[in-house]
Amino acid sequence: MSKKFFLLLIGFSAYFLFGSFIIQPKYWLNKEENKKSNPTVETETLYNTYCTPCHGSQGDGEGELAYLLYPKPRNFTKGMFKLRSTPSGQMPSDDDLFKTIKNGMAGTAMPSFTFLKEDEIKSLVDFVKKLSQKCPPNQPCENYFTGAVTNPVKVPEPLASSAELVEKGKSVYTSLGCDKCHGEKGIGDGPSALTLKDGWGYPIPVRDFTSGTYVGGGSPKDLYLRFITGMSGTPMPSFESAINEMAGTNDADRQKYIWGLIHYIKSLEVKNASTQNTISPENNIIECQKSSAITDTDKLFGNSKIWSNAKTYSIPVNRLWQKTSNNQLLVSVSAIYDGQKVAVKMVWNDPDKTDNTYRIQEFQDGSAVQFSLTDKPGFHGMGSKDSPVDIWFWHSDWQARIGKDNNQLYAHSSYADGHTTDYPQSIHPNALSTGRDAGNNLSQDIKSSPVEAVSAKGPGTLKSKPTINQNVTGKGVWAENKWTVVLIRNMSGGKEEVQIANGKEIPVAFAIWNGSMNDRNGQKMVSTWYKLKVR
Amino acid sequence: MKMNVITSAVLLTLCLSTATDSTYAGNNGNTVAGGSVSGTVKFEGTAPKPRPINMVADKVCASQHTSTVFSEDAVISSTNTLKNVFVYIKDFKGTAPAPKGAVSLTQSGCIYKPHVLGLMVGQKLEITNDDALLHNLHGTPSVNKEFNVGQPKKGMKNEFTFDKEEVGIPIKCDVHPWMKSYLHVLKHPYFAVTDENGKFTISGVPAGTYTVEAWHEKYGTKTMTIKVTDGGSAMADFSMSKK
Ligand SMILES: [Cu+2]
Repeated sequence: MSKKFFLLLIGFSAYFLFGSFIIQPKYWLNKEENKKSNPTVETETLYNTYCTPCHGSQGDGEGELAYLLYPKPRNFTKGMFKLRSTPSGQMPSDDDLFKTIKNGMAGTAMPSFTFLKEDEIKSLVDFVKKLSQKCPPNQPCENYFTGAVTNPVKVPEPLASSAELVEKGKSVYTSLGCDKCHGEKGIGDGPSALTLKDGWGYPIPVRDFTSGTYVGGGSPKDLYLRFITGMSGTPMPSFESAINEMAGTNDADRQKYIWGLIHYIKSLEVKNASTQNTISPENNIIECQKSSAITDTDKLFGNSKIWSNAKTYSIPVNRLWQKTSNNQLLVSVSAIYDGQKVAVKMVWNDPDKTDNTYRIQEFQDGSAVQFSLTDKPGFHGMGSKDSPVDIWFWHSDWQARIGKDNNQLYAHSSYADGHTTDYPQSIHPNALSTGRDAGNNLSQDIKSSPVEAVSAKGPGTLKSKPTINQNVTGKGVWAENKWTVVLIRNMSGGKEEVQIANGKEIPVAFAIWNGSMNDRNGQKMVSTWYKLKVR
Repeated sequence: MKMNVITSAVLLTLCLSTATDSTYAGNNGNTVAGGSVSGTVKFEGTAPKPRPINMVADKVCASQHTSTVFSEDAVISSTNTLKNVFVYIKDFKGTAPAPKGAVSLTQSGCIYKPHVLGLMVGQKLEITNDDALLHNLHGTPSVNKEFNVGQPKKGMKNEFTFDKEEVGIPIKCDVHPWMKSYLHVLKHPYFAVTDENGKFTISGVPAGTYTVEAWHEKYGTKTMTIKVTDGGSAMADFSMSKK
């Protein structure tokens, strides 16, 4: 048994959910022993690593992290799958399920699993199909896929967009009643939007077309399928017969109506300014480029030449708990190292800077980079006993507190007319403050760095490191509706810290908190795993 | 007009049952084959006030009604009888005649007509949009397959069939959250829906002893054992109340 495979089995670190993901190492080891005799064991292992935390081991959507997610993870035992290429009332094709796992669902907690091998994804498809069964009491289980007919809809080549076609599409949009839910301007605020429920009775947000984010992909062909087949378990119906009714037997008209509508919808997208001149990471690799010496933090902002060798990658982060809009954001990421230090830069759009430290009803902006300490990270979670994670967490409110030792003044500035009580240390620097004096980093009223180094080894183990081990520095600058955050640390880390060295490929993921969207703790936007390649 | 649609649909359901009389050759070729089951569903206790539907979400819906429209989830007469109860033979094991014709459901003034509908496995269900606006036909069965079809145009019609027996399939429109109706799919034609007087009649039932169930979306189910004889009429009166 190769060491790599062993790591695969025990590797469960994952990305950025401060939730409870309990793993059972003994169980996994037993499974490994069984692997040779039973080929499905490996698939089950994959499923349990990547799918169980949210979808549950029986596929009922009741995984341990499900409570943190909205919309809820799919319950496979109801036989309803959102993304289909098959007509309304049919089960999805294998290819549909494959694409859903591989690409994820943008703007939702379902990440893309591009880091898995093709045959691994295929075996997960089979496993999910197996779980898709109804088991009535005292009766044999019935699988929804047994004998299911799947006749994928043929998608014709899209007509090229033109002003005329978009104009046509606009009238189709209204005459089909798309505005009833998606709203007149396509921002998802139609008159019926707030009463919509999913197949389980939970409220479901309407797609905001201006976001350009689509759960099933944003290409015209993807949108064609969503429009023609509908989305099972959601209010989105199939418009196949409606469009046939409108166009009659005239195929040219039919094409014009459909592609016109799709191009109109695409024309509503608002472009994201922060991602210009960025590239998508090929094979999920983010290159960390050699740079000149990283000395002064302030010199890492603006048009600093130090980044000139670094590529800028566009990384999608998805909100785990969906709001009516802004469920996906593209973060520009670049990384450099000078042999001594490593710096990671994150840039993202945020029109409302929120870094207030006093008003508890407000939440603050933040960003984080998470490194897996093992080769093969798992799914959502905070790592595990066998696969811990190292997190560098930048807090806008901590930054706002740097150098400010007069809490009272600060409180007064937040509540101009309020009366606040003095904090002990602002009366007496030597006043008893047990947390601070014991070296608890979170109790330090005076912040020296806006970056918190955090480690986690699984559920509920998220832990701010002692002040003495707080070795990550950095800074955020908010300008022109954008945050630019740079995080810096020595390449070599201490115990239970990521070691960054030339030639290494380190699993890395990113998270963003938007205070004005009330993001905090587990409610945030996260990316899937990438690899930081130091070269 | 409104009334007509409802009555004709109820009649259609009843016709379906009676039409099967002749197809059933009773025991030993008796002239009278099968018997009937009839009764009344009473509502016990204080009837809840009719719930007005607020159609504010869609002005076009509201404009089609001159008076307040009430929810049909509990229609109780002045004599405390319950409308829209689906009454059917629960344990019919014999072979039943093939379903005849199609059953129809209409969306008119953003209301489903009728509110409750029974049909047979494999029988065609035609759903028509009488309104010049978008409705989506969203069936959420638990045994049969989910369907969800947009009907944005007046006069649009879609056909559906169900391959499995299932009582209480909700159909809803997501655009108009008050729109809800229930379908009941059986392998036999021995079912009926109570009228505004809470009355129902199931005809042409082959002689035998059966469990009859009354199903209501809000007040649950009640069952009763009855004995049907050739040419006889069995009585099955139910009473339902708030759970
Ligand atoms: Cu409707």
